[in-house]
Formats: sequence, structure tokens, C-alpha cells
Amino acid sequence: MADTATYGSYGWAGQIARVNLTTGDISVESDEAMQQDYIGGMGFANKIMYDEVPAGTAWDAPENKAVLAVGPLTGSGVPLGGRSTWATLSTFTTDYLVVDAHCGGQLGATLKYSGHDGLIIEGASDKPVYILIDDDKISIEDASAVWGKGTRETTEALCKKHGLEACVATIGPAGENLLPYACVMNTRSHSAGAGLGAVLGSKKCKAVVVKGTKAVNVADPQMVADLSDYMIAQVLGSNNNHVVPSTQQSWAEYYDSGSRWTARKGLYWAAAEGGPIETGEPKPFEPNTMGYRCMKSTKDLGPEAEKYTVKMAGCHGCPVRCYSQIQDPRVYEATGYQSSGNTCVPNFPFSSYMQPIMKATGLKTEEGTNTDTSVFYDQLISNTVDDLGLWCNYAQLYRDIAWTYTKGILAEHCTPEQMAEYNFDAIVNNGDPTSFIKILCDIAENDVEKKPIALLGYGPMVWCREWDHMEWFDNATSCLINYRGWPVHHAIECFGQTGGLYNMVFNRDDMIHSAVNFQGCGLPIDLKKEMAAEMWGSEDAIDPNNDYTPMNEYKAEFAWWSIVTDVLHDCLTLCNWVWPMAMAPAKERSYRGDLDLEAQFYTAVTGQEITIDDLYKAAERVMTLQRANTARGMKDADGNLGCNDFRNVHDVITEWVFTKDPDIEPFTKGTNKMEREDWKTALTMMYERFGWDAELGCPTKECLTDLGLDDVASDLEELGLLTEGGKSYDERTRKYAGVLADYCGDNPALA
Amino acid sequence: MKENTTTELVGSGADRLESFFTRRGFVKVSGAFVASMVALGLLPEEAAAAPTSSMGDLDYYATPSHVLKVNRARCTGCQRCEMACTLALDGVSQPAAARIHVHDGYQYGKELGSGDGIFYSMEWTIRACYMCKTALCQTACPHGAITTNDNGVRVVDEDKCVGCGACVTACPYDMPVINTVTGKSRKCVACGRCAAQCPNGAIELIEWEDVSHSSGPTRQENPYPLVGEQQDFVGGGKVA
Repeated sequence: MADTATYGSYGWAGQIARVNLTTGDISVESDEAMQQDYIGGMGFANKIMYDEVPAGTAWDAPENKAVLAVGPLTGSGVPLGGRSTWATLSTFTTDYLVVDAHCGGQLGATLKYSGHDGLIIEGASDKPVYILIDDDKISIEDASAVWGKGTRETTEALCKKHGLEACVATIGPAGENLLPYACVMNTRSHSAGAGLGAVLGSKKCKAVVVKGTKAVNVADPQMVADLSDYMIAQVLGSNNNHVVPSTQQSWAEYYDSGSRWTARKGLYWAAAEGGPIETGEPKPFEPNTMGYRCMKSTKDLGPEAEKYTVKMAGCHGCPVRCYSQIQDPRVYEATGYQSSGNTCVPNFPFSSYMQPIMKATGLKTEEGTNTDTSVFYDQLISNTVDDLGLWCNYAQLYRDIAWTYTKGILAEHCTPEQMAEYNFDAIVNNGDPTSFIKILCDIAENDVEKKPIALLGYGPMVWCREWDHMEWFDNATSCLINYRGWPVHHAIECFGQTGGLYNMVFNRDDMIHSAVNFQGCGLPIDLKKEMAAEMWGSEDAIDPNNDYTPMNEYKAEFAWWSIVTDVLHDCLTLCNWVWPMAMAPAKERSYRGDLDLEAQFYTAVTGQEITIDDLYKAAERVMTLQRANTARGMKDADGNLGCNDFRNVHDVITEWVFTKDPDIEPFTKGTNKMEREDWKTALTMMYERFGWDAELGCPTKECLTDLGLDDVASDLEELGLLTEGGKSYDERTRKYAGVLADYCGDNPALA
Repeated sequence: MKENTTTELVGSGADRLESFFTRRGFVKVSGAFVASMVALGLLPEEAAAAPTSSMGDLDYYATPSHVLKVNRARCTGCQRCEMACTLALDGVSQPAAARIHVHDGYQYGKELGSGDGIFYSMEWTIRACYMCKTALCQTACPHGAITTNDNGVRVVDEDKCVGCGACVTACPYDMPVINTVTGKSRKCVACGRCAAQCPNGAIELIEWEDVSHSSGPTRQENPYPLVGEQQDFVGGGKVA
């Protein structure tokens, strides 16, 4: 244990920086008062947004703020503690409500090492600037030399100036041009989306540059190390915490072709320096092979990507390594960028989201496998959007481009000359994706009048209305799940109602992986049902894929747990793409995970005794606070500011979930179709689980009081948005502490 | 000018012969003494090859027992080694003060134009102490704050270190760092914690050997040109 006099308080850096770009004022303030109730990260950012940004503020007004925050576990050595979260007002979903933009890379850890738990960017500059944080020294610097540059060139220039170890989180042309779909990039390919780039652009803030040489002090460093070793040896799986390999392997009892534990004998990082490196058969209890388990390049891009694979990488502090690192000479030739690769959507924008609609020739083999050309398409688009700082609304941009082209909508609005430049013919018929550079640059330029294709970068809320295609929302192909403008992020295809429910709660796509990780982990359904009973109270909490049963209280519990664990991780900050540890790869522990680990790490790092139930309650507080903030800023059907009818105004799932598969009834095998009355019940049950108004879905007076949010209750009451009732906290809460303890005999914190 | 207290450690060596012969410990003796010991077969040949100190004495440093061997092609840049290092040895997570270095080369390699880093070759070098036979960090220290432990490893005595950075300057590989929080120098002690938890087995703690301590390539043969020097790359593509 290192002394606090030298290294500062445990866990948190203890202060947040505030930079006002209008006045040039720079200050730091203590965050101690928020630590207990809001933890950090998303909790801090949402508390600050609630307290400081008035309801009804426009996203591009100087009164809007962009709040970056990390938590007590960020950069502490806890596995997967490299994430960070921003909160600001949405640029692309209805009413400009608070959204969270999470990102990995180096930003979170570096900010923490600079001695800050957060950065509040407020006001607006009248000339291009960037914010430089160099440990305690914070300054506003002239960004005119990098304004107009892509994110790569900007990063390079600012690293040249401030040190190659500096983390540069920067907007690209999309953000500068105030395109609603603009993001903030760090470390080449790590994106904080949800329009954050446009918000920074509206403040003329090109970048945040962070250098940090300080320490995260931890109360019990030996326990942090021991818990990490235990977790990595036997609890942690691969990406999405998939815990079985994707191919049959002699050591493994189970395998599942969908698993992201894709390492196998004969599969190589074939372009590795000095010769191919085999991914092999990494097993549980082998900490030094963990980083080979997730061979993401071939998983995402197809088998032809193997020869371009240099290695995997990923976020700070994570042993899973889910980021493909690709060197494809065709991509270099077209974009000028030697390296590419990502994880998830930006890794496969064409093959997964456009190809099903555009059906370009030469991209799939007869067996349906991605071809070598497909790798080129995906990586070219990936590099281009990342350099432009162009966000995709969780792939919506790609589906929208494909659909508007295919249906002739683009041709109606763009000039023939533009359509010739976009050269979709070459994309679809000639195996040549290079005109995507022009397409994406034109979108990022945000000159809708001259280049109408940019309207797609405003999101479907805008372009569907302007171009009179609101029917797109009701088309299952769109994947739009909510009429406020966001698409599915593991929705009804993930445990039916459970996935549908958690897709409703935020003001953007949910980014919740707690449930989908369990769904895809690779264990057989009977075992998963046993585990579900232990964790959520009944085997009926889950159904087999596409074989769903009507709503029940255990599904509501599972949905609640999925939401609060996600929020908790974004507060701590841990990666919810892998956490929580609901399952494990080790047969020796009957594949059970360890749900107490977040709390044990929290205690080891901060020195404060806490249970997982305490942490879940804090996360519930953060979720409910954002919900209350949404009530203040949401407009009702008549356009009046302030609305608490979430059921009818906010949590409205798109029609296609009820109308898809017209020949099949809901709750029969082979469909994930939802049923209208059942969905109403599902919403009611989730509202009750959160203590919200069972009819309206808004936080009630009792709920807010239970969570210590009396001031929020007063605010809502004043606005006429407060109702009474709802289940009390004790009545609605299931205890999670120790539910899997029988399987956790090796846990050092229990020794 | 402060007295070079390093010389206080110089003696006949007689009182340290035991550790001397087990290739551990640290002694400084006269050149003639070492030469005669080598001639008698009581010392390995490397002993005679060590350079003279600033005081005109011949330094003899026992060979370290271990060294970290790295393979950068296997490194995936998680930087858990840096956190594990400081958690184990300082009780905090502080990559900038770690005794192994990944983060400073992660983005662009050793220098802009090296062709390395996540923006270019996707390779970067894991930098760790070479455990030199002739430890310039030690000879350079004006306060005798770097001593040799029982494993032949040079360690920083925090009580003596004043954070002057002489060791940093002296090291040909820029390995020691001055911790910005404590103002004390830090260098590798070959504890192996970084290697034990490397998820890719890119670091190994091996018996000391006098070879390059990398098991793979260490630099980019043909670095790609810098993006910042390619003026036609605007917004992610070769479009003017």
C-alpha cells in the first residue's frame, strides 16, 4: 500500500478539470461529494449534465457541455479498466436529450494518470482550439494548424508537438462541419460517438490532448493483482466473454461456431513481423495465452483476412485483445493509411450491413463466406470514416446508404454528376470500393444543399422525414428499434423481451452487452438455464434463441440486471463488452462466473467495503437520474417541453417487431416476433423493477427518495412531472451478493 | 560539488568474495586483482572486460542472474506489464514510472518516422532493462544510490536517490525513469511480474545471457512515409 500523502487518494484522482472555451477560464474542482453515490464515469458525467445543462438546451448551443469522465477502477490495473465515457446532448435523436458516448483506447487511462477523473468542456471558442492536459498543467491551445485535418494527421501533428506518448482525442472534418453523426477518435480507431464530435465542433474544440505521468493509488495492490490473476486464469473468457472455443478442441467440453474464442491450431497472425504467429489453442489457466483467444480479424472479415493480420490489439489494460490489426496493401494504396482494423461495426461496415441490401458481386463465395475483395471493402470504409471522425449510429449510416441507393432514393436527391462520382456501379458490380471515399467525404462535408447525401449523416429522424420515407422505421431491414432515431443494439433477437426492453431506456442505442454476452457465450441452453435460475431467480428468465415465451418477472429481473450492470461498468469504468463475469471458461468451476468481482475490485482499489448490491443500487441511481433528466427535456405530443409519459412518447418500439414473419404467431419456434399486449406487460414489469411509475415509466417520488435523489424529486414536482407510488426499493430488489460464491473457492478475496 | 560516493563501495573485495564467486553481489577491485583472479580461473572472462570507473579503478559487476527477453511481434499493447510492475513494486498503478516501457512507443514507435506504432506497422518495441554487464546507470550515479542486489541486479536505493537523472542520461537505452510523483529513479529488478501476467507471452524472464534480449525483430526495415508529409491525403483518402 502506497501512502496517500505521496500518491493521493485511493481509486479516484479526486478532481475534475473544467475548461470554459468562451471565457478561457480553467479550473479544477473536487469530485469527492459525488464518489459514493455516482461512482465515476457515466455517473459523474450524468450528474454534471443534470445539474448544469438546462432542459431544452440545443446541442450546438454554448450552454451545452461535453463531459468526459472516468471512474475509480480506470487505469488501476483491474482487467478491462481502460474505458471512458462522455455525456452531452444528442445531436441525432429526438429532443436533444442526454446521451453517453463510451470509448476505449488510451484516453481514459491517460486522463486518470494526468490526475483527473474528468473534464468538463463548456462554452464555445470563436476560433479553433484544443485543450492540452499535461498532468496538472491545463491550457487552451491554438488549433488553426490542424483544423480541417483528418484524425490521423491531427494526432500525428499534436503528438509531434507534445510527445509521442500523448493521447489525442480529436474530431475530424465531420465534427468541424457540425455533422450530427460525428465522433471523437483516439488511438487511431477508438471512437466516442453519438454526435459528440459535432458538439466539440460547435465549440471549435478540435481535440483534447492528454499526457499523464501520475499514479492511480490503490489501497490493496496485492489484492488487485491476486484478483486479476484469478479472474484471468479461470473466470474471463474471450471477447463478449464467450467461454468456449469456436471449434472442437481436445481440452474443451463444449464448442460453438458463433463464439469469439476463435483461436485454433492452424490459424495465424500471418502478417506478423518476423513470420506467422499461431493463435493455437489457448486454454483456461494459461494467463500468457489469453491474448490469442480472440482472433477477431478472420472472425469479422472472413478467412482471407488471415494473411493481412499483423496481430490483435485493443484498449488500455485489457488482456482480451479484440482489435484486429490489418495491413492490406490495397487499403494503403487507396487511403494512404498503412494500418487498419477495429472490432465490431467499423471492422465490417460493408460485409455485415450493406452487402445484405446491396448484394455486390464478388464479395461472397457460394458458401456465403466473405472473399478477399470483401476485406478490402470493409477496411477501406473503416479507415475512411475513422479519419473523417464520422460516426455511423451503430451501423445505421451503412444500412441507410445501402437502402437509399438500392431504392433509387439517392438518385432522386443527388445530381447525376454526383451519382457518377459515387459510382455505386463499381461498388456493386466491379469489386471496386474506392468511390466510398468520395461518398463518405461528401457526407462529412455536411453541405446538404449542394451535396444532399450528407442528409444521411443527420440520422433517420431527419432524412426519413425530409425525403418522406418514414416507412423505413417500420421495415425490419432498417433495424431501427425506436422512433426517436436509434437502431437495435442486441434487441429482440437477444432473449426476446429482455433485449427489447433494454433497447428502450437510453436516448441512443443501448450498448448493453450483459445479456448478449450470456446469450452467445457458447454454453448449452440447459446449463444456461441453471445459471439463470441462480442469478435471476428462475430458469424462465431466459428462452432458447427464437423460441420465446411470454413475459415474466424473471425476464424483467434479467433486463434490469442487464441495464444496471452496463451502467455500473460505464461508471467504474470497465468494459461491458466483456464484463460482467456471469460465466467462465473453467469446467472446474462448473462454468460459473463471479458476480462479486466488481465489488471486490472496488474494495481493493478504493479501500471502501462495499457489496455488489451497493454498486447495483448506485448504477440504478445513475439510470434513474438520466431518466429524470429525459423527462425534463422531452417534449410531449403537443411539443411542450417536459413530459413523463415514457410509455407512449419515449419507450415506443418500432412496429416491425410485431409484424415481421407474418405467417408465424409470436411465441412459436422460429421467430423473435413480439406480441403487443405482452410487450405492454414487459414495459410495466421493467418499470416496476426500477420503481418507476408502472403506467408512465417515469421515476416516482418514492423511487427518487429511495435512491437519495430528493432534489431531483423536487425539480420534477415543480415541473409537474412527478408521480407517486412505485414499488419500494426493498420490495423490488433481489440480492446478488454471493449468489455464485459456491463456485468461487479460488477467489482470493474470499480466502 | 558532491563527493562521488560510489567509491565508498570500492574496497579490496575481500569481504564480498563469497557472493563474488556465486556470480552475485557487487564488488569493485583493482584491475590487477581481477586479472589475477581470471588467470587463476576463479572468475569468468567477462570480469576482465569491464571498463574502468571514473576513479581509475576497474569495476567488476557480477553478472545478473536474469534478464527480460521480449518479442515485440507478440506484444498487443495492453500495457498491463506497466501496471503490474508498479503495482508489485510501488503499490500503485503508474505506467509512466514503470520499469518496462510499452506506452511511449505504442502510437508511433521510437520516433516519428520509425514506421512503427499502431498508426503504421502496428509494431512497437517493448523496452526493458538489458541488465548490462557494465551498468552505466550505476557508475553514473553520483550518490551511490544504485547498488547490486543478491541476484546481480542493480537496484535503486530510494533513500539515497535524489532524482538527478544521471542514470537516465547514462543508460544507452533510456531505461531508468524518474518518477514524477516521488522524484526518485526507477529501474527493472527482474522480478518477472510483468512477464507472469503478459497475456501474449511477449515477455519472458530468462536466465541471463549475453545476447540481444529480443527474440524477434526490433525495428522497421522500410518505414512507410508519414501521413503528415503526404499532402494529398485529405479526410481519409487520396482525394484532393
